[in-house]
Amino acid sequence: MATYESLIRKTFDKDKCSEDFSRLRSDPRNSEYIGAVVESALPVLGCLLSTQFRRILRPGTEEYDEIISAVPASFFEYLNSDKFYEKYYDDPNTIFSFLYGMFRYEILNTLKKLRKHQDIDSKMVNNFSVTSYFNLEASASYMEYRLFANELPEFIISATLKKIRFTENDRTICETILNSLVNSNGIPWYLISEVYNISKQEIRFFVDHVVICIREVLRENREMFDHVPHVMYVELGNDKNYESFREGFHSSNQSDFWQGVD
Amino acid sequence: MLGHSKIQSDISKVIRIFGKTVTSEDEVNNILITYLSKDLSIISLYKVFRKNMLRFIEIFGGVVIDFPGESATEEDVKYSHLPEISRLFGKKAVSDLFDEFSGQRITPPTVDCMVDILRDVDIYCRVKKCQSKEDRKRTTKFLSNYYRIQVSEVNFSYRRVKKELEAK
Repeated sequence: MATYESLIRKTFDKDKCSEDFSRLRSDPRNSEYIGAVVESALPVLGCLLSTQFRRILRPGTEEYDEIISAVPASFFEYLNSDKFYEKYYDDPNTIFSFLYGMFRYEILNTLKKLRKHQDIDSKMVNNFSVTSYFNLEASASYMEYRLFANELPEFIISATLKKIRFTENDRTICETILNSLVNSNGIPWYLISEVYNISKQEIRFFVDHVVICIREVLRENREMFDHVPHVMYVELGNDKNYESFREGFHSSNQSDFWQGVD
Repeated sequence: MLGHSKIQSDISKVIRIFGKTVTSEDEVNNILITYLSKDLSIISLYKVFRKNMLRFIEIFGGVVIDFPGESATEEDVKYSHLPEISRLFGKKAVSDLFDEFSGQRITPPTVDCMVDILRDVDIYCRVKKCQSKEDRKRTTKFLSNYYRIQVSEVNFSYRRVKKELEAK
């Protein structure tokens, strides 16, 4: 599990990935090449998990663990099947779209299975009902960037630290708040007010200050988020195989499960 | 309200910034101000920031900002958000803000709230341009994909903004 976890956090290298795929096609079912393909393709899964599914699949939850073991396994199976060698296409420009669509389908499929076989405790997903759990992001518009503090890249955090304008105790408070935001522990209001002898209102000010600094840094690095592909662009892939693959997983369009997902 | 459901995540752990609108920013800005014109504090903010208003809300959305009054000490200014505003928007913006809100406490609308409003206005701007029925159908489908809401919600948003604007 830990290895998958580290693999999906890597950066996706389009050229290396397409090279690995073509090598595998030249020597079908070579286990070494399959391993290389899985390794270079898994960052796309990470990208999906930290963009589209970040709110319902958080690291450490049972669903998350299930996803990061089940999805690579089914991808492995797919690479071993005849279907891959008959239908797979080598186009470095659409490889990301292909993997993105495929992993998304697999994630939804795994979630669907989980829904059937176990009762999901609604508390696990921040108290929203199971229906909305599977409605994914239907109720939220896509035009905002939602970033969980614990998913912020390291350089955002270091840049935020530079933006904090206070010194001494005040700075320590701000750093504590930033750390608790990043570690997702929640802000220790009581502890901070006891240790530094400040009121809740003052802590509220420091929290706001840290959030402002983070938003400022995020705005400066906007291009970084604009690179995250929108699901629409993925669906615009014009390759025939991709089209047929897409048709396959849109066939159950009438069912509730898909409602709001596409 | 359709498409305006509750936030589904822990606010304290999530940081939001606006995404891209389909129509141009200037066009959305113009309609947005007319749409929000019943809210006087938004108009005051617009007077100060003009084109930068959305940028201001993006960074300071939901944050309590105190504007020290006449008896303010240096400490009061230090523990306020004025230094950030000055750094990001210039000294003129701070003095203009003082003219509007001196001695008051304001909370700009949250990013969540603005995202919904911005989306509705963007939908209105885009759908308004459609010339034929087919074009409108296609645009609605496109917008429902873009914002990941249902087609009915796109229509609902369009009608809501249109009704509001026509009443003015």
